[in-house]
Amino acid sequence: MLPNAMGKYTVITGQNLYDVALGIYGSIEGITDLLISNPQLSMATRLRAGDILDYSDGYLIDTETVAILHRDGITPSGGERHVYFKETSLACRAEFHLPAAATSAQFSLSGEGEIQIDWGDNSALQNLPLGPQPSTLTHTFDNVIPHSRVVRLYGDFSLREADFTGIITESLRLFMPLHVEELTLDGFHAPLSFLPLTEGLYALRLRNTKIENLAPLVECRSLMLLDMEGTDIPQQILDEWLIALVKKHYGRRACHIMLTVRPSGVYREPERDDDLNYTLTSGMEAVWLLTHEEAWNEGAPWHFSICGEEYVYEAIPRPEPNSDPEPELEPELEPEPIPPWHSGGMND
Amino acid sequence: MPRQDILIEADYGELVTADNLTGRTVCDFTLLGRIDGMDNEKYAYGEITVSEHFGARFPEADSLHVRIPYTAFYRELKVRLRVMTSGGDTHYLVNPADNTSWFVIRDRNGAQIRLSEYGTVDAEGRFLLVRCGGDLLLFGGTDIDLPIGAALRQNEVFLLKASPGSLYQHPTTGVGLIDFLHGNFENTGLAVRLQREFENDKMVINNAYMNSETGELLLDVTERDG
Repeated sequence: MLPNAMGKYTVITGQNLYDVALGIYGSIEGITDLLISNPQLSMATRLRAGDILDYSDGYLIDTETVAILHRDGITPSGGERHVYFKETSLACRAEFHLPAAATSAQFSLSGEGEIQIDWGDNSALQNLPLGPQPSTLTHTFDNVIPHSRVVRLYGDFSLREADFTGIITESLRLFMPLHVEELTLDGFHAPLSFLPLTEGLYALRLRNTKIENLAPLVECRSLMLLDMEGTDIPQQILDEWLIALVKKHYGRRACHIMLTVRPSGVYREPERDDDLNYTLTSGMEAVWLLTHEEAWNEGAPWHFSICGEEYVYEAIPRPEPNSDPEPELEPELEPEPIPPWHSGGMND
Repeated sequence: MPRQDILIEADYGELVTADNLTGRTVCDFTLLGRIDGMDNEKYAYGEITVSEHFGARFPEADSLHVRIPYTAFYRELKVRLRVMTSGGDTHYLVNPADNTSWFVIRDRNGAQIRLSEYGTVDAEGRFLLVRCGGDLLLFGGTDIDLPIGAALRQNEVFLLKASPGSLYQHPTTGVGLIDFLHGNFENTGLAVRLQREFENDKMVINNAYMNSETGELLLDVTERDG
């Protein structure tokens, strides 16, 4: 054989440089000869099926291994696998924790900007440019894991519509404020503790689920539609939330709220305390106040759909001025205080 | 002595990791509401209860472990360190930088980090706060270690999964069980391959059984010199 004679090796599917070196020389140390014989190669080169590489013919490092591989018809092709962990320089915006048994996840998103998604498996980071029309993204996880899976959303984006119904999540965390206008979380069983970090949220659908804590919803002051039909909420939690809507009404928009659980109490004007402020004792009294306070219904009316019954803003007619002259009070008597029609005294 | 190695979840192919809890005291954290007279728009306020011992050696102490749960507040966090003495008295440690009882928590580089962002440092909410001047720097509070333990079971699994050519250090090693999918012992050469590979790895197969319904291979293996 002539010295420095060169052989030609054709790469097959799934082979990387180490596989080729092992197949030719019997050891991955042969990679040095490959790099010398093919100046265009580097450690970062991704080989493709059909690539032809030069090698020093007759140069073997482990003759026995070459002989065994040849005898058994084995062509090393371990390939290159995507293995978690992945990194990005973009800010992490949201994190979903999924049960280990979840095999796939689905989002539907529209808005502006671009999201980079780490699916929490061995797949590469996925880029999703957002547009005005919702894009539905379905991903099947490519590995099995013993603990919960974490799906992360990175990037600088804002959402117009987001539907996370197709993702079974144990918890959802937002790390910084996220602009999202319409959010659908049907069948969502995770805590709602992330909601205070949503911005501009005017429609929230939380249907057919079970909610143990509605306190985070109090901070969603821009809501105009809240659909909780088919959702199981303990009555006490519902009452506390409705009373909180009244007590923390400042800066809140009027909202259409749909419920299939009835708050406690009777739909009537609440009692007043000695200072003539309302004292709310039940959820239905809070509903009454929200649908009767004139100042809170100026822009748009509060509207409750509760178990098929509608409760909408209705102005209370002021009493007609009495045509009969009132008898003059005796000067020494204090006049009775006249309660205001509706009191903002409840509002923090 | 049975063989030992760094433990790996053989079914998932993932390293087993363990937290080192030795000598660590995790302090309690309480998120406070609005504090009158303070900047409640920029900061959230919290309190960390530390031991009397920590309070006594505070001038030298440089770090403490604390668990802070996820909270959706996009505000920086200021904490005060509350010492409960054995006599039942309570006092707060003084920040020598400004002589107040408040410490601002910053990220590991000393930059601003908000309470809602803490989950990006440690998803479980376990943190190490390290004193730096008048601030506390936030680090993940979990020490990752690789435990070492009995490795016979994982060696079996990896030997079965490995195909010749896939282990670069030992290119001819491996049963390559996937090549025998839906096979049996009689006419595929699997029995010979199993015995040869396990023998080379100093293991003895006492019994092997293949469930024809599930395709599951059950092996009873012992170490030759174990």
